[in-house]
Amino acid sequence: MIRTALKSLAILSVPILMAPGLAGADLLFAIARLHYDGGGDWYSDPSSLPNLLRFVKEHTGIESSSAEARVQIMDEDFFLYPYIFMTGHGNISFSSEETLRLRHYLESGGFLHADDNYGMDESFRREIKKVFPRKDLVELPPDHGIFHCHFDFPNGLPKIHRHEGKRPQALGLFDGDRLILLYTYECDLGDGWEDEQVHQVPPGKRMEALRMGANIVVWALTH
Amino acid sequence: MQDSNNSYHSVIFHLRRLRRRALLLDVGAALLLGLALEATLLLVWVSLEALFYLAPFWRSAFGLAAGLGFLVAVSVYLARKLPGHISFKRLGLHLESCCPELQQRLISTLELWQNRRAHQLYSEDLLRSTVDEACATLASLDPRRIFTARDLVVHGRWLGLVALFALGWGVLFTESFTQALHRCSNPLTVFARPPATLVDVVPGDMEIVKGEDAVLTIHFSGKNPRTATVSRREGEGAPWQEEEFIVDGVDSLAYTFKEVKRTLSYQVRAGDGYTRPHWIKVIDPPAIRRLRLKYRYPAYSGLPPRIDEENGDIAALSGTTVDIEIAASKPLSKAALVLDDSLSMRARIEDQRAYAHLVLDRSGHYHVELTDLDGAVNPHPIRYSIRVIDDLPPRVSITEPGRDMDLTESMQVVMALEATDDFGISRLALVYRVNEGPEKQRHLAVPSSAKIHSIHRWDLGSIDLLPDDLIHYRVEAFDNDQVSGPKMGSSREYVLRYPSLHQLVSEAGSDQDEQLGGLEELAANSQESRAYLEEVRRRLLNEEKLSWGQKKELEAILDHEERRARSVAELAREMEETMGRLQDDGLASEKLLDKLEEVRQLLAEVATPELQEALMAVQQAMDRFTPPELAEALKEFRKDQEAFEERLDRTIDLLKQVRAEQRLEAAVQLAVHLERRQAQINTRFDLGADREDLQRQENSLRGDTELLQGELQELGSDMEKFGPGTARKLQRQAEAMEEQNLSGRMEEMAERMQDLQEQDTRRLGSGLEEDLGVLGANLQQLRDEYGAMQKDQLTRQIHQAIHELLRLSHDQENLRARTGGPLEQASTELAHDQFALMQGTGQVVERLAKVGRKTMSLSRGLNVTLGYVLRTMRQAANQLGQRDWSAASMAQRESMGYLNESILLLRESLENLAQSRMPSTFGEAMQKMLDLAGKQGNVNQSTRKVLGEQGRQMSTGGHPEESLSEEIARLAAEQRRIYQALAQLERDMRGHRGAQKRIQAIEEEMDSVLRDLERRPDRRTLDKQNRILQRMLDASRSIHTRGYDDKRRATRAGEHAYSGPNWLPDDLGQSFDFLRQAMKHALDGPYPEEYQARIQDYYERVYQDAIGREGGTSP
Repeated sequence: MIRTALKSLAILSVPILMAPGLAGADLLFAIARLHYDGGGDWYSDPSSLPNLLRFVKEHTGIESSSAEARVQIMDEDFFLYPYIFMTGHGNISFSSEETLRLRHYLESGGFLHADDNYGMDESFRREIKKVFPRKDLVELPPDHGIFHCHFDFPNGLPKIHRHEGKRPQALGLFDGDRLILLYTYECDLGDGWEDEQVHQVPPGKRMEALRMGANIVVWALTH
Repeated sequence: MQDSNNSYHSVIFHLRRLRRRALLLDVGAALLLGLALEATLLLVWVSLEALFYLAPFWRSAFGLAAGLGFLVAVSVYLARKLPGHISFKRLGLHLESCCPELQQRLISTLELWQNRRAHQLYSEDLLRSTVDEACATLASLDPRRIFTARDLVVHGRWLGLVALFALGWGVLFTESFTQALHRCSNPLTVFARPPATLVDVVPGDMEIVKGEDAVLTIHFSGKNPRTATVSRREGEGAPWQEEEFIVDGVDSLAYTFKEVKRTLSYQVRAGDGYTRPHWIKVIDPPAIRRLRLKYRYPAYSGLPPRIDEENGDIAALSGTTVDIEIAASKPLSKAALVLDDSLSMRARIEDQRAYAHLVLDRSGHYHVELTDLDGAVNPHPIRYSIRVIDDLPPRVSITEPGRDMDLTESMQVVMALEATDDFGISRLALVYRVNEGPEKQRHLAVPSSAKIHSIHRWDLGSIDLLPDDLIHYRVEAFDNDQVSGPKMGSSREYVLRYPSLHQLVSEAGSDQDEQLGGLEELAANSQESRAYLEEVRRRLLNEEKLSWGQKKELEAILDHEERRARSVAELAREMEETMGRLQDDGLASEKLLDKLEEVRQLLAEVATPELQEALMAVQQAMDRFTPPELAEALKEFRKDQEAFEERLDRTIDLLKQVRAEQRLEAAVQLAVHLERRQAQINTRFDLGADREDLQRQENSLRGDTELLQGELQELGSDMEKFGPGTARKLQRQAEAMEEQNLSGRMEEMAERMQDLQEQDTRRLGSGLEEDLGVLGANLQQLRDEYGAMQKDQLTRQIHQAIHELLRLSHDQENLRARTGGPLEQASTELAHDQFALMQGTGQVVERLAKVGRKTMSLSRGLNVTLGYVLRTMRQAANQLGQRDWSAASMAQRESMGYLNESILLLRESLENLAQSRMPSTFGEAMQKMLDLAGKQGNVNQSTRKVLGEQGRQMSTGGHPEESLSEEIARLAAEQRRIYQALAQLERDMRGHRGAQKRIQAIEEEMDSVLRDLERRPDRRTLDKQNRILQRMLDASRSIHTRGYDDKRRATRAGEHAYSGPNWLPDDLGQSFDFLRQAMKHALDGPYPEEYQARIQDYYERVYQDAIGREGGTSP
């Protein structure tokens, strides 16, 4: 039931929201920031999501809210958001109930984008393994649709911040053929979405980050 | 008398004959009459029985009457006929009446001849004549005329008519007739009266195949019923199950027993009529008990045969032979595979089994038709799919460089390729074309494998390229499909641009100019903020308060300062990028790159941690808003800020110098390049190449020549500050170019080409080539002179150090003499002098350390020796302070020895420097690393051969031969030598942490390889060696990347060419999860919403338990 509802919400929201005349205040697409436990700064990059939402609205035609939503896994309205975003530099911890509910959410049509803001890699991988013990994160190659669905990224995920100097990786978790989780590692899209003066990201680099963010949103809402 | 007597006897004879005929006719007619009457009565009897179902009494009575009728009829008839035909006299009378011509003679004969008295009364003659006449007449009579068979015929006709009527009735009403007949034949039996409605079913008893429908036709006759009931039961003791339905006036209807699976009895009732119980016998059709598929794959796939007993669906490569074994539920008479519901293939039968085989060539479906010994066919056979799995084309990608790029000076491209195929790749080919030219191929040697990672070096030096040429290239991989032919997969196409040198120089130069401009801007706007900060500080000291506006302004300035520091760091990063590009494009010498590195480090150090701390202290003081503390913090900050400014200025100066040197280097290369291009154009012209193209090239060359001329003039003025002599010579070269009118001559040459004046064109081309050659040589000489000047500076610094160390050694000797002399001075003075010597040595060591950062030519051990000098001098000073003269003298002697040793090492260093091709640290390191990489490549090659040989010997079941073991030992020794050389290189790179770490990583991997070689090398060993080689090449390329450790700076994605997998794994990272599948299946089922949560909860618990048991973790 919930699965159907989430899928419908995700798929139907695009055409509905793309028709400006029909877009009501309650139907606006919003990204929900995940408020997790464990001590990590789940609230980091505060200007990132509003910027991304604005960019998505301007460049994809998806009627988006101007503000991010904030949600915890055990919140009643958790399943109302088809797109959840999480980031941070520190530790993440999911309780057993949260593990179960997140699994249910993702298997029911939800989508989670986790962006490593430098430092959450270890705990994120550990916790997500608890959620899906029999699934592995797989790297999305540059020809994956998520890199071409709206803006073209022929070389795959762009590198925004240096971090460990490793190449950026877009790691996905699939349920059947559906991408249910995207983990952007060694990339730091969130910093790229922030206000220009925050991290002094060059304009071109910032634009790359926003475009990639828009691609993720479009992909999540249409697949 | 005698004759008459004879006549009389003759008359008697004739009479007897006639009587016999008459009697026969009578009896026959009587019998026929009896029979006809009997038949009539029987028919009436049966008819009455059929119509009225007579009671036994009446039935018996009618039967008896019918039986008596025969006797009565015969008797009456005979009684009426016989008397007239038995007596001769009555017979004679009958004859006389029938035959008037007898004229009473016969009766007279019979009455008179035997009567004696008559003989007496009548004349003998008369009597005789009468007898004779009677005899003659009688003899002439026709008996058929007298006794006809009329009765016989009449009676026969009657009988026939009755028989015909009975037959018609029997035919038309067979059942009722036969039933009535049956009842009449049992006259005393009581028979029930038949029902008004007669029910009949067709076919009644039947046999059907299990699961099929049994269809009956029920006929009603007599009184039409309103409803009918079908009763059925499965087995003798089972209760009847009834089904009633409306008949509604029809005389027949069809009734179907749906999908009968067990034998059953049935009966139909309607009105007062009913059928007898009938049976429907169910027979089991043949069914497939088990399907066993044996796949025999095409040889090229290398796949072993596989047996699948799970289901009958076939999925395999095209060309695969599938042996199908069908186990049936009962013995078979025949079986067949039916492909796509059309093509039937007979299977071989062995009792209950059938065998068939397929060679897969297309997808579709099939089903199996089985026929048992009774002819029953398996109903609704299962349709199995046939899926021909395509042998997919190979996938290949160029992971390195994996992007469009410019060709570097080396004209080589290192390509890392990744190719996979489901069954094996037979070959790889590099396909390229220059601009829109024809495509060419290069075979790339790779081992035949399903997964290939290989590195190839593509040397484009042999391709005749011109600036601005574009080389489009891709890699094609071919698989080993021998069934449908090799399939090809192609990588993405990339483009290599062959840029003109001027383009490269311009691009790199503009970056640097921007950086320089940025730095100057940073330096320019610092004065104002510094003055304001000072003013604020003073005001705080005087007034001890700060207005809100001032505070905000102060905050803005501090914020600006912070950003300025960050900008410097950003510039340092950009410079690193520029250096990388310069190195790749071969636009800078190693010496120049070293200088750039120095500038970069200076830049990185401009925004020192101290400055950051001071800034933070100011911010904290502002937060606390304690004016004296804020004033103090501002004072500290100002000091650091001044230091910042100084470092910035120094950096800018150095950067300007480097920029000028770089431009000189670029000008040299450009000149050499121009000569090469002119030579190329000349050669092509001689070979008759396309004139228009050559003309375009010549014009392009002219443009670059003019740019070089302008660059030389500009550079001449810029170099004035760093090398006046070089600057003047550059100016002269620019003037010489002007005088030689190179540009004009090139223009003229292009025009001559157009006018097809070959002789003039050749002459002009030759002259230009010569002049450009001279220009290049002159510029090279200029650059070398400038480089020699730099080298000379290093030499002078080392000479200076030698001179100072000699002086220190001399002073140390004097001091020792004073220490050991008869008039020992005050220990404090001696210790002070010893300490001064130590300080002097320390300064020399510091200067040498700076020299050491610029060259690797300083002999190894120099730093250790100098360390001993300092240590022994310190010991001597301490011991002098403690008045331990002898120990002090000993330490002084040792320090003198170390000083002399240091001097010798410095002289050795001078020799090293003189012999060194590239005096800079990193230039040498890079060269050494490349040399080692070459050696490692050879070792890798040998290891590959050894592994191949080892595999061959192992496959034959033998042990490795002694020669192979020796070869492995030799490899190990060579690998160890490389390891030691690498370790030495790592020691030489001390102080350069980035490079050192890279080398250490290689060392660790190499250590592992060494251990493998000592045991037994395998495939993984070779993989490790290949990784080592790759890292060595990477290290040699990027050895200039060092120091900078800002992990949060933005980085161009293009620098990180994608090197991950180029396709998703087939399972998308999911292992089969039965419990999740089961849960999803259950949740998709038609359960009410309230159950779904429970179902999910149940499965989640089971899942949690299962995962907990498997991994000891709780999901």
